[in-house]
Amino acid sequence: MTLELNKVQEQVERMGRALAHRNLDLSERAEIAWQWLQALDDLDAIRKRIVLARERDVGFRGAAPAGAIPPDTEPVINEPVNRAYPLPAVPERATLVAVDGSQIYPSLHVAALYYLTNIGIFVYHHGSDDLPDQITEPRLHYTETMLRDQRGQVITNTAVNARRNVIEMQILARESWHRRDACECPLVALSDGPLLFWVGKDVPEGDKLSGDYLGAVIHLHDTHAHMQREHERFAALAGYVDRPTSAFITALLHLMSLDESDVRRANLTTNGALEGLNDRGLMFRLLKPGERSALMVQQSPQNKYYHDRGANYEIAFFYLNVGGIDQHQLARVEIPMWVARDPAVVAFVHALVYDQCGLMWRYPYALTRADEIAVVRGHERTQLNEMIEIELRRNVQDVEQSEKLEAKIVRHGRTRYGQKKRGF
Amino acid sequence: MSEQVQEQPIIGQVLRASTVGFVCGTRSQEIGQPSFGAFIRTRHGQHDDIDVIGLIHAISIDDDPLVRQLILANNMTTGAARDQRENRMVPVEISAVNVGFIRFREVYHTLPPRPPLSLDPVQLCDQETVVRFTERLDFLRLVLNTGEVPTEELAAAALLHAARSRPEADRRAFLVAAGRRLAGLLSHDLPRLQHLLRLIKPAE
Repeated sequence: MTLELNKVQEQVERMGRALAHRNLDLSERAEIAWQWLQALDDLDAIRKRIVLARERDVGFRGAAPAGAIPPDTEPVINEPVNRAYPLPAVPERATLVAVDGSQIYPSLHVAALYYLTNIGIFVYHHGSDDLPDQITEPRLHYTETMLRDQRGQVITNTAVNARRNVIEMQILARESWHRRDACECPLVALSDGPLLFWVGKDVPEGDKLSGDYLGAVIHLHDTHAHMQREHERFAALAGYVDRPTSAFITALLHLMSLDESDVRRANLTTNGALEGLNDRGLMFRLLKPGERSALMVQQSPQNKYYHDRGANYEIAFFYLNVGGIDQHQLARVEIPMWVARDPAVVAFVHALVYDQCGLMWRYPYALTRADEIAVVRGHERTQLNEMIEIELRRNVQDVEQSEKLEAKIVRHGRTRYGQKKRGF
Repeated sequence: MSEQVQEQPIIGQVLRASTVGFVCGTRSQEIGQPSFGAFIRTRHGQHDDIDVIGLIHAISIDDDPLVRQLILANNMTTGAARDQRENRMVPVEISAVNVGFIRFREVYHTLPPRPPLSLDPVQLCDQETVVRFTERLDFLRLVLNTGEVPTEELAAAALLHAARSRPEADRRAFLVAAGRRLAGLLSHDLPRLQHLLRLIKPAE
């Protein structure tokens, strides 16, 4: 017996009515948010409010204008937050190094416990007819220390994801560094997803992973420093977040709407009158295709950790409408402060990312290809498991198939190789 | 021993096969040489004794969502186009019908006793092999009786390939002989015969 649709019919109808009511309510809140954003033109007032929130430790997790917040030094970035910034001219040449990764999670239902990470690097020579480079780096992890946490439990998928993120950034840094002298134009290292790395408590050695990740970011900054010194060119780093659901600016609007005396933790657990909104609606009204938002910085302990390791490593971001003519498609582009501080480099990244999105359906071509070469497909996982089984037998090891997995294969009618037979 | 298979470049490797025909896969930038109606051969391993001979009846490029998006976006760059053609494993399939085999240099115009296996290399037949394989024309019956392929066009293309493999002075005589053979095979189906004869008619 599978899902009996007649039994959920009434629930679907109730759901439709509830969503319609919620959307009506949200559209009223969105109008309020838009009015507040329009009025938010005093950067000094915003910075003072951010300082107050920090002093009172109210747990504010929204955005602040990029640039130093007192008591740090004078801000070098002064972009009003309620303005759109036009699309700069597309750069003539650039080397774009994009990274993405995939994994096979540990499973108790195959012959041996292991997990695999597969990282794809795609190097696109913007403004040149050169053939792009593609590199994949699979790594098989099978030792007990890699597979189990301190309590002897098999590590979670979250832990595998965290380790994969670190390897991605390390390989991105390594490949960028390798090109520091050969590259005859600016280099942009592009990763899929946020640049701020965060691990939960269930990830073993989370502190070490955070340190390794930041080490890779610093390695990228070394590439930038080397290229500037030796070749008077720059290397930038950017993280591309597709269709973000963040509410950083919405949270800032809420913070600014409070009276000074109300800036307390209890009032910042929600976004008050704007609760339920994210930044998408605001940005779609503010940004025409190709335009970006002001440079902002998310206020969070992770970002403070980066900032405390060096002012260059704090992560800033801007929203970018990557849509074509009469289209709205939002991305959030995250950049470290060594990139954000230089308007020419920001313009370069802005234009290059938008150009990449124009190559195909509103997503960077280089990231699409990095994902494509990294992804581990079902039949490849099956082949790897078979290779492992053969190797175990060759080494006179018992190979025990999971009855659960076998039963699933039979129930779902999958063939051994997951291939559909055609022709002959 | 059978023919040496290293003379011609490999155009693909067997994806799936039966005694009736086989499909080989190749990369998109490697489809410059194979053409419709060309004779191809494949053999399982260096020490096997059978070269299966096939005729290419279809070259197909599978649907690809990424290419579709690039076309829709209409902003193609040379770098991206080269990436698609030279880096990506764009799945190109070359389908062939079996028309015979060669065993110990002996030509047989019948289905092979066993199919090639996955990943066996596939090559275009060299001129000498084509000439020797088409000295007799019994393979035409196999072609004309093949289902799900455009048989007249395939037979005509194969005969024209075979004619071009011969010295120019011999081509007309070969095609005339082929026409006579076709007349015998298709005496019950004159419209089909006429169409085929028009396709292979030598230049005056």
